Amino acid sequence: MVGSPWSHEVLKAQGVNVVFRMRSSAPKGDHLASVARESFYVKALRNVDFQVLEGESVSLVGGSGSGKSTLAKVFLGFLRPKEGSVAYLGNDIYRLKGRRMREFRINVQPIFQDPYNSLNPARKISHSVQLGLFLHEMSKEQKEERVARTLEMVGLTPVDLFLDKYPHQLSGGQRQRAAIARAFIGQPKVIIADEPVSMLDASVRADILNLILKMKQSKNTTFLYITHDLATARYLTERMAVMEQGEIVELGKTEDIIESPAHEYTMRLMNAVPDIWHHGSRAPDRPVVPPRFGVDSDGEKDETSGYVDLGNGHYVKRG
Amino acid sequence: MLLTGTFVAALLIDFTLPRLMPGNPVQTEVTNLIAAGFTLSPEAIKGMYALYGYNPNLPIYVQFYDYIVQLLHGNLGVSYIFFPQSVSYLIAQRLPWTIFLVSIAVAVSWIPGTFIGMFAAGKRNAKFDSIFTPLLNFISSIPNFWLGFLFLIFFAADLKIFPLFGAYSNTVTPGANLAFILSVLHHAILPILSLAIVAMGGYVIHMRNTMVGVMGDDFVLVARAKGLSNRRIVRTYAGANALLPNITMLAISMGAVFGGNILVETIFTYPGIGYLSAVAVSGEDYSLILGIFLIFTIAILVANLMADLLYAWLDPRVSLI
Amino acid sequence: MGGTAMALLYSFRSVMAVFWRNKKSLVGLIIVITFVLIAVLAPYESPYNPTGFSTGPAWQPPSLAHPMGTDYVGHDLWSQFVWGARISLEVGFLAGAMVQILGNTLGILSGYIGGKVDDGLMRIVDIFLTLPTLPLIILLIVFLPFHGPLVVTLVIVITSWAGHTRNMRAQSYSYRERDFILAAKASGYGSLRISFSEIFPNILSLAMAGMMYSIVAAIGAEAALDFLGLASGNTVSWGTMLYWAQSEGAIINGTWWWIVPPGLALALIGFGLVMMNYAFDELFNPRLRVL
Repeated sequence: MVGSPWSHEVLKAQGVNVVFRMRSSAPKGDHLASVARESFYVKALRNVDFQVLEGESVSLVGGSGSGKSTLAKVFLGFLRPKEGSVAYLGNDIYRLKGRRMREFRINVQPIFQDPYNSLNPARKISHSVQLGLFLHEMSKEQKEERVARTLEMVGLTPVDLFLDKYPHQLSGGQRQRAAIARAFIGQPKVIIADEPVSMLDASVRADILNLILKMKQSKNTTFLYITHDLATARYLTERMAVMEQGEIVELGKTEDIIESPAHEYTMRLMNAVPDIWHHGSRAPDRPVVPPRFGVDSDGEKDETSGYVDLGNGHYVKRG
Repeated sequence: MLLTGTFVAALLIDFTLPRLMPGNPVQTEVTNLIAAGFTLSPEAIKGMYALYGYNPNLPIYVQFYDYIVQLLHGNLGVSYIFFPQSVSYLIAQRLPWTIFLVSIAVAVSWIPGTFIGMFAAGKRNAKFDSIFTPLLNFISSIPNFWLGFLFLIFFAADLKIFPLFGAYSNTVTPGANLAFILSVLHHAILPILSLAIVAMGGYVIHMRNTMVGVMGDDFVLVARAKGLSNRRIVRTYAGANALLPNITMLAISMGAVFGGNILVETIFTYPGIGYLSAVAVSGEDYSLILGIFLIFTIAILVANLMADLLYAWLDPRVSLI
Repeated sequence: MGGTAMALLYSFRSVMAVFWRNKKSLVGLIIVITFVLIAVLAPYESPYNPTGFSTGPAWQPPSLAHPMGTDYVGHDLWSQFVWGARISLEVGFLAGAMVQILGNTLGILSGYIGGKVDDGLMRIVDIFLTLPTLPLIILLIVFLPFHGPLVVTLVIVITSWAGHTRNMRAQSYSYRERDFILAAKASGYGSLRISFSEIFPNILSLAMAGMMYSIVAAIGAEAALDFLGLASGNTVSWGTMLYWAQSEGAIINGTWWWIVPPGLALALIGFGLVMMNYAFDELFNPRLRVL
């Protein structure tokens, strides 16, 4: 589970544990002093090791509740893990200060899932997009010019028409374009996109995915893609990590995992999605017993981490 | 937790404020009483100092300790205008009247107000709304003591069908006799109406707004889809759910009801603690003012506690520790 | 604060158009403007000194010379009424604005920052909400060694900031994990900027509604204090008019003209301010805005 020594690790999580304290539902806005509320704990991330290498496109794949979005939040500096370390270019994200913090904020940008939620409904598009240049030292005119140029790049033209619009006046696809513009405008090193197309109409998904692809390729942006959808993960990324219940259960080249999934959960994920290989029909059910894994002698065991190395950077969690 | 915090805050306020006053309030009162012709023995003066633990020569925490000890003995000090009666005696005499007024006023405004609000939410057409909403807002904007003023000038002074002041006529003997009870009711009707009419406006608006919110909830839509009648949905489904926030609202409104009661009792010269506090204010009776504030706080805490119990009884999700 | 400016600079004509469409709020606006004009123009409208030596025969019903009649010593009640409007509106609007500033700042920041600061502040808010407001105001006015309308205003603010703070906090709290707030955070916005540039514009209409209610409450509290004889200095107000009316026997004498105007004015101004709320949602909610 160590990144190739010649690659530069941009983001690195080590032994990350995140625990959520959940409160059982209680009446809203109660003023009651004496109401007992039970709380329980949910482990959202369990001992996760993961790194994002410079210039690569990597996906985190898993169902809902798998912890993939939590890991994204941890990498974005929004959620301090209970245990473990998270580093940006070797520095702990949650201890960044001053210039280093500024660098991190400029260089790691999110794209969110819900386009109806990722732009401030009370602010104009020009404001929301220009937000991405907040920490950049530029004149007002330079920023405005950059906003116009970026809106053009994401296809929100004529630019003048969109600058003064409010989010509710845009379609879902247009909003996501604006959100993409906000994320890319400051030319960040890393983009973390959490299900950027899952809430869009099927008709615009491909356009948005292609837009993201185009934007990241033009600047060689490092790309962390969070999705439940193996098909788009395969389309956008060359490396993949599969998560289940807060753990990474399989890690490797996207092609290797999709061609020969080694973990039972990965196979279930593949069976769950409409077939991406055979047009128009569901994939034939794959055997639930892993073909290569499960027999000890087949792979090298790493007793300490609980992962089995299948070669070529393909790891799978011991069942 | 909240109730304890509020009580402690009230104690601290009562303890601190007299100590912020310039000069020595106890000395001022003693001087004034002697000037008014009272003969105060040195013991009496010493006693007045002991009350509230007021003694500038002692460290503040000792004073606070003394103050708490006095309170635990039910000692709220001696009134200055009703000298030598004690504050706790005066309050104990007047409190039943206020509880009588306020509890009836709350009952006759909250219960119908909630029902009117509930059914007004079911009736949502523009014409009804354009008269109903402004009317309710106007009613709840009326100062209740002014309403009492109008009632007095019209029903008492002009038509002479209600008495001008007091809690019962001086021709009846207090006790469990019919004449007394009728006299009490006769005297209470106008004050209660002044309090209740204005408060009801607020309860109707609140219940209606809550209902409109609840009626958009999924479970109501499901009930509608099942073909249940509008009336039944309003009564059983939405109504029961909108009732809970309205109980919270009831508890919160108790503060306003007690506050408004000060003014209404003053207008009607009604012998409750509201009027007593107006008298205390105009007579600069500091111990009485402090004692009354504490009693008002306790009354509101009790009202909150009762609302909590009601809430827990109605809401299966809430359990009391 | 671009969002606020944007909302405030929203052109006069479209503001009027919104009020015109919302008849309820139009009525409210007209009432409030009428009272503001009465208050502002007090020196030009009042022919007599409201509190000076008696200016006419006592106990006069309304007439041409005295549109609201005279009191027990012959003071012109119309003059008292227009000067009284000043005190009510001054205290009301000032206290309303102060509660607004305090409640917005504390509430939005507390809700956004969350954690222990938020927990602590909300404890204090809950205590202030539970304490009986009017008795506390009376207590403070009696014991504080300062007097005058400004002290009354400050005391009202101290005793009534909690409600608005709690509402704003609840709103702000519901926004803190929203994606666009996280996006602003990822762009390097700090807590203050997020609170006021990103969250505040979204809850502007609620903040305005809160302000209206704060003003109404403050006007009511001021009138109550004056009615109890805790007059804010040597002034006339609607509350002192009712105080004198009660203590000088207006009820027995049946002088309704002494009692009706100040109380009706209090009811109407409160009604007008609350009715104006119906326009605010449309004015300050970007989704409803017509461009």
